[in-house]
Amino acid sequence: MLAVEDLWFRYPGGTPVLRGASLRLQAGLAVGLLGANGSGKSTLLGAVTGSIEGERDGVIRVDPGTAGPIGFATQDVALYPHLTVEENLTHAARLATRRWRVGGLVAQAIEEFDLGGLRDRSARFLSGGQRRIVHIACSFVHRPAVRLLDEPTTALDFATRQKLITLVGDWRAEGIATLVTAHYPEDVEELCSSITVLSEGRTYDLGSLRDYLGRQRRLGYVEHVTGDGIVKHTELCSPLGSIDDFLRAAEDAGIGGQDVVRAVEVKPPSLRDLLRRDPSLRAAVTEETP
Amino acid sequence: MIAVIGTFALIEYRALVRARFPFVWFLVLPAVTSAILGPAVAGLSEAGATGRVTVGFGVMFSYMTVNYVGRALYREFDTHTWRRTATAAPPKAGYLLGKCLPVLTVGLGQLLVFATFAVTVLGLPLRAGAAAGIAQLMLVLVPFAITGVATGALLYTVIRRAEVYFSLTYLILMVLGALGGAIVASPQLPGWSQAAGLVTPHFWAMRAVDEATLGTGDWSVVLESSALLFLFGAALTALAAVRLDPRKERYAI
Repeated sequence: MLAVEDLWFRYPGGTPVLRGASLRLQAGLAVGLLGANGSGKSTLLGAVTGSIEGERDGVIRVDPGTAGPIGFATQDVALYPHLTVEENLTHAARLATRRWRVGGLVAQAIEEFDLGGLRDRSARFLSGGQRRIVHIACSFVHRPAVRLLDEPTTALDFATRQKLITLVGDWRAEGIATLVTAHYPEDVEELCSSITVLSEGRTYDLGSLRDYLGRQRRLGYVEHVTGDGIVKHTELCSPLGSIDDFLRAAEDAGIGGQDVVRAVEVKPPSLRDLLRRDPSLRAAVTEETP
Repeated sequence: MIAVIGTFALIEYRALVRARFPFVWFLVLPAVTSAILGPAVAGLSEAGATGRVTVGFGVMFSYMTVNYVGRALYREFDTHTWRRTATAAPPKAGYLLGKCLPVLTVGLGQLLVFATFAVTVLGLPLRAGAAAGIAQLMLVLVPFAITGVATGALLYTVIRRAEVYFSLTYLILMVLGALGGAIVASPQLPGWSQAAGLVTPHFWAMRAVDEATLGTGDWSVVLESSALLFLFGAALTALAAVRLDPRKERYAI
């Protein structure tokens, strides 16, 4: 649906932020874009949509069948506070599509994002989470086949976050291609099917998230009783390969000779485990570098 | 194109109507100021001078359009909607017209309210007769209103920070209004002010208004001023449209 190849970008008067980034979004897949703060995730999204000023070089191909502009839910909530929710949706739809489609699309968005109770409320009187979800609804009101979300879970409460996760799942089922940047690894794990790392202006496609995590050395989770009779659950942060690895990791984790180990579970690490060990995912990038 | 103009015009129309405060700047302030200062401030004593002062203050404060065009254009950055707008990549001319038309309507409406009040209530004469006099006033007030809006649009394309822009708008309002003879009639100003005033749209507007009302109603004077104002407005608008880039980031207050 969207292919980005060898994309370079620099802001006016600055040094290149993107240095040959590539990306492929396929129908029905949600890609998580990971990278340290300031690595250029938002710049990549802005450069792909052509919404930021600067020098851009590279290839950006969108499938010809894709209707209207790429949907882009920016990190900052973009709403006119003096307009109602419905008026904001209508404006966003008018910008992106033909006038005769606007009414139907707005009604559809109100239903899909469950905004019926808010439709006549002025945007200035919405809560932070409500503003975020209305913002996402405005960004995708024209039902684009390619959707980019920059930190979409910011300010969302648990229920609204779950709603967003369900929505992204529905979009995948509809064959929509989605790209998500997120602060929290749990968000990427729940929203995305594959991951790409952005580091020093270049992208590294790690492929399927489940396969990638499955390829990592396993971690141990130990339930043990201390000498004082206290039951503890300890995660062994070192990767395990042999019984010696296990004993060394247990010692590192502070499990002493008085402790009685009651249960051990060994499983692939979560994305959070990987990021805790390697916040910039440098190891992942090194593995993928030819 | 029409749809783009319509959708942005609707945003700005709603902002103006729902804020209500603009009407204080456009209507209340010039009305109160002209009533307090009276005809003496213009250095005129003939019949209809009170009406002339009222129109003069209307002309001066109509340049609040510079300020409100800025509000319309910087709004996209205040509300963070500029990225969505830039992604949709609307035609630049349509975007600019949509943002500016509601402000132009308010600015023109204000001028017409003051001119009508001055003529019908304060006895400002129309030398060429009623119909011709109205036509003469329209011929000059319409292009003058366009110059205000176009000045704002062009200024926006060269100033990144909203606080700098808005400070300048008040300076423009006062300085151009004063130099152009909107408060004190041009012949009463110091020599250097008269000379500098020639480059302000206000001078040409007031020259034509004075000719149509307190002068002889000579069409050539009115047409000459009107043509100059039209040309000036068109040049500013074209320059603003060429320079405008919705992707250029601006900093709202």
